[in-house]
Amino acid sequence: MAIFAGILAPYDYTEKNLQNRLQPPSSDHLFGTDHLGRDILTMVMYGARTSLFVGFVVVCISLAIGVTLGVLAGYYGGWLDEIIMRLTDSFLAFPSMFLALAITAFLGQGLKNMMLALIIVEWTVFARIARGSTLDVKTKGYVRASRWIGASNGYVMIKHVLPNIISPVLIMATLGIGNVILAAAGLSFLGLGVQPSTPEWGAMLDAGRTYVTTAPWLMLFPGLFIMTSVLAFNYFGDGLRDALDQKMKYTELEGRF
Amino acid sequence: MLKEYFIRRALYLLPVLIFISFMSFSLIYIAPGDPAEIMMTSPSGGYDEAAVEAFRIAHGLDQPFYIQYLNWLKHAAVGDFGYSYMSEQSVFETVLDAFRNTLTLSVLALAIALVIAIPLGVVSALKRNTVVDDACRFGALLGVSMPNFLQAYLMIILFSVIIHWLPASGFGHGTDISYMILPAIVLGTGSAAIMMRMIRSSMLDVMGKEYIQTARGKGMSEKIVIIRHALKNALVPVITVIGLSIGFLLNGSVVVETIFGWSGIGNLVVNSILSHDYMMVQGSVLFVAIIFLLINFFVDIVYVWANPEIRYDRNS
Repeated sequence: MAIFAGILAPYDYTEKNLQNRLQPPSSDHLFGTDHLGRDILTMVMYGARTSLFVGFVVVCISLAIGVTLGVLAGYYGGWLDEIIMRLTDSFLAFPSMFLALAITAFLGQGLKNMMLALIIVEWTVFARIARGSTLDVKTKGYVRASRWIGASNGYVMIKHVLPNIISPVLIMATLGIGNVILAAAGLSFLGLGVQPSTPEWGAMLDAGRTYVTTAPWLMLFPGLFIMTSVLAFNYFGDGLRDALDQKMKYTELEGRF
Repeated sequence: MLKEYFIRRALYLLPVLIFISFMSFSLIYIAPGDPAEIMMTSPSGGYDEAAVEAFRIAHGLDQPFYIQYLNWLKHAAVGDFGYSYMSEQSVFETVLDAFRNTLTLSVLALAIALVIAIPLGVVSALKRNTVVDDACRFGALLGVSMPNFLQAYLMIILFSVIIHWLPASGFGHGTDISYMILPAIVLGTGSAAIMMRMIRSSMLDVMGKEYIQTARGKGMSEKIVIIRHALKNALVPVITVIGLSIGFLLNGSVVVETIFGWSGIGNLVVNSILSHDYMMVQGSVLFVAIIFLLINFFVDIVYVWANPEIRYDRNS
């Protein structure tokens, strides 16, 4: 739906019609119109693009950073492990929302800065899980054998360690997308994420605050869409975990945002 | 064993503390604007060079980075986080006041969460793979996925606008409980969802243990087995759950306090950001991080103390 927003959307999201402002849901405007007379259904569809884009990109970059550092820490151990893990602990010491807020506050608002802030918060999860799994894999026979026949460390990490830690990382990534969408919506809702003119779910909610009693559909529909997509990613992540029979502790997964 | 663990964990705190102080301090340097210029800019847009310079010197902003950091650290270590550039009030006192309010709200939220999560988590585990379990698990999933701002507004619409039971927002001098109920429910139900899932899985773990089989084998009634043996052991991880919920509650406080106008630390941070009060943002973030770090530290210690058989080697 996000991909085909351009075709599916009944109206142009920039199309404003002040005579049509704050219309309740009707057959013309299924989800009603906002304070500038824009069609909410259209905005929600375009908003899906922004939110999913933010979710995927933030998780991919965090995953790349986190997994690289986590595998290095777990594989080499020693002082490198010590440094990387204390660094991770330091980032985890900040409640994630406060850290993301502080970074967006100081960098200035905007989509890119918000994504940067979310990456800074999110990579630690991947670093921890990758390190833990690497420690497990390292003791396995095939890794020891591979090193014994003279494979280089880099080769062992890429050929043997990475493929074997991929399932917990994937589960985390799925749940992470949901988390990031939620956090991004929260930041935009507070007025610190994307510009209000961009169709984004959190920003739409923020714009709808003023009209919460008179025109609740302004907040209701984007809110429901956030919930549904986060629910979908969480459900999928839970399913993946059950399917891959990972003995992952909830402590690793929950309580991030 | 416990003492050793305690000391090792305490030693880990030190580099982390230094690093988080450094991170908090550096925040000001990633800002695109110069705090002195921003502060001294008049509403009409122009600023007076001399006034900016004087402000810089008065706040030590003219010195090199590391000196500023060391000076700042020296003060921060004794609880002096500087003064707000806006109101000239002590950052530490303001933050402390706000945190006290957040704490009040969080305790109530935590109580609500435990009251919901413990019975549902236990029932869900005992009735594993039945309709009851499915309903509980779906409810928890819904709770985890529900954005707190959506829930907050749904509750305002329901309780304040439609049935006029509770005030929509406000602080009520921090003593009027009616202002606390809605925000505490929003925060509490969110963490209840997380807790319920954890209690369910720990209960399932315990139910599979040998001593439960033994107790059953001895002919004890199922009720006694569950209450005396399973529940007691399954509740040990609740300590961890509470520790985790603190993070969840603190994060949630940002949005929830802003919506409900509760004068807590989340609200303070958001307002300080909107008014470019950098010292206040820096002080609040550092304060929250230190509190969060210490809480997690104590939770870990209590957890090990409650579970003597758990071994914590360096790489666990």
